[in-house]
Amino acid sequence: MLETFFNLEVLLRAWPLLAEGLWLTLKLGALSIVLGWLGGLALALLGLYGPRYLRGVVRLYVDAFRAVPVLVLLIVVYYALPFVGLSLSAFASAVLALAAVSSAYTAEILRAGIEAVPRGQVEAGQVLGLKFWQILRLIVLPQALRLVIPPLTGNSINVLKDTALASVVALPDLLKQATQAQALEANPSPLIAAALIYLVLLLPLVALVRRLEGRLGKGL
Amino acid sequence: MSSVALRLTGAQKAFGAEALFSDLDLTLYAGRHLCILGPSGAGKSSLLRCLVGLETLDQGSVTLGEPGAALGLVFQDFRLFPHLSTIDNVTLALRHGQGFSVEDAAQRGREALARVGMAGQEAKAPGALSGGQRQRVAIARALALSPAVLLFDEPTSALDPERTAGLGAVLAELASAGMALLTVTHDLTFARRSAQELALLAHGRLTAPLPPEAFFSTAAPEVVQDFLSHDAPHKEAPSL
Repeated sequence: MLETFFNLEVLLRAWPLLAEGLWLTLKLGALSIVLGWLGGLALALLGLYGPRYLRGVVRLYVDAFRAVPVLVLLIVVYYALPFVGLSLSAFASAVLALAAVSSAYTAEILRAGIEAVPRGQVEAGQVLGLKFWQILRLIVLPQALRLVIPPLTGNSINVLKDTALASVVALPDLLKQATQAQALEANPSPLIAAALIYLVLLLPLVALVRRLEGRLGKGL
Repeated sequence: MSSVALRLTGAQKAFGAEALFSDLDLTLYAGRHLCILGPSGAGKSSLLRCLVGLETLDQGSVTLGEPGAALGLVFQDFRLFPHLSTIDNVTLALRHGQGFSVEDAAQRGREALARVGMAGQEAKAPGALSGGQRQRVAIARALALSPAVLLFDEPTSALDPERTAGLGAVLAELASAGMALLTVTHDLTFARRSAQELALLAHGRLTAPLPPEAFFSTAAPEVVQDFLSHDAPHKEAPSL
């Protein structure tokens, strides 16, 4: 049993591959998460304060990218875009797909957070002679961000998990390296190890969200 | 005669088809405290919001005694910034709106807080303050910008009688320092004790300001006597 699923010899040999894969997963995850935040913030602000026609476009984007499965989007980006002359590397395709979806969720989360800040806070800033952007930056966003840290962290966890989908476009991430090592060794230990690495990586984040949500719940 | 701090002329404001007030004139003088009374929904708060520019008048104009002078408003619910400390609440506009350095803003902020009896509370979060203390921070936040005119919306609604007296003392100090004060309130006792002049906003009209003795006497216009006897029957005739 241990021989089959947790073979130390196999694991030792597979470790360099897994480590490489983990590093790529982390890079892919971090880049997609940060781009998702930035895109989400831009979308949220445009959706709330932009010109009317742009608000409609933002609404459409947010709904569409929350509806489409990340895997489908990824495959479209990687395999279909080359037909219109846009050939992206596996890494770039994965970042694009993950960040596009994440920005849609982030935009929705931020919009809710911004709208939860009482209107009176904006008026207090206006009476003090502050400009729109100052009110947004100094008064509204700091309060909104506090409210949405738990859902924002939750969304980032999802992005990190979804990086595993990149293995279908042959990106050598943690999952891909593990399946390759498994094939090479004819032993599933590397896959078990990969699953455990995902768990170790994400479990603390999940626990963090639970704690943040508990604290916020008490604070309200 | 003290100098004019703010003059509102021919003001008109409607919500939908219904006129809130029309043809309204109002003058505030430096160092004097005018109190506007009136039934709920008479447009008292809207009048304040128009004066500070949160709402626009349909007609009429606001002119300041000194061009470019600042106007402060203390909201009924204070509206402190909950994510900022007391001192940061007071200095936010100084630093980001007025271009003060951090040190200069902090200096001015501490002075403003001391003026309302809140020295030593700089580091506290608004959530850690009592209702009366929050109001003082809100006053300090407005004072930090050195306004020529300070407006108060229902300032006593969250205060017990003792704190109301404390607020009266703060307002008296501000007026004696030359600030023009305008409060709108339901609180007849507070109005009678702390304002130099009272006016009634009812049925879209503002009565001419009268000193308290005249306002609460049979010499007052009929609409005022009506308001005092019918619209505020739960209030005892306030004593001085």
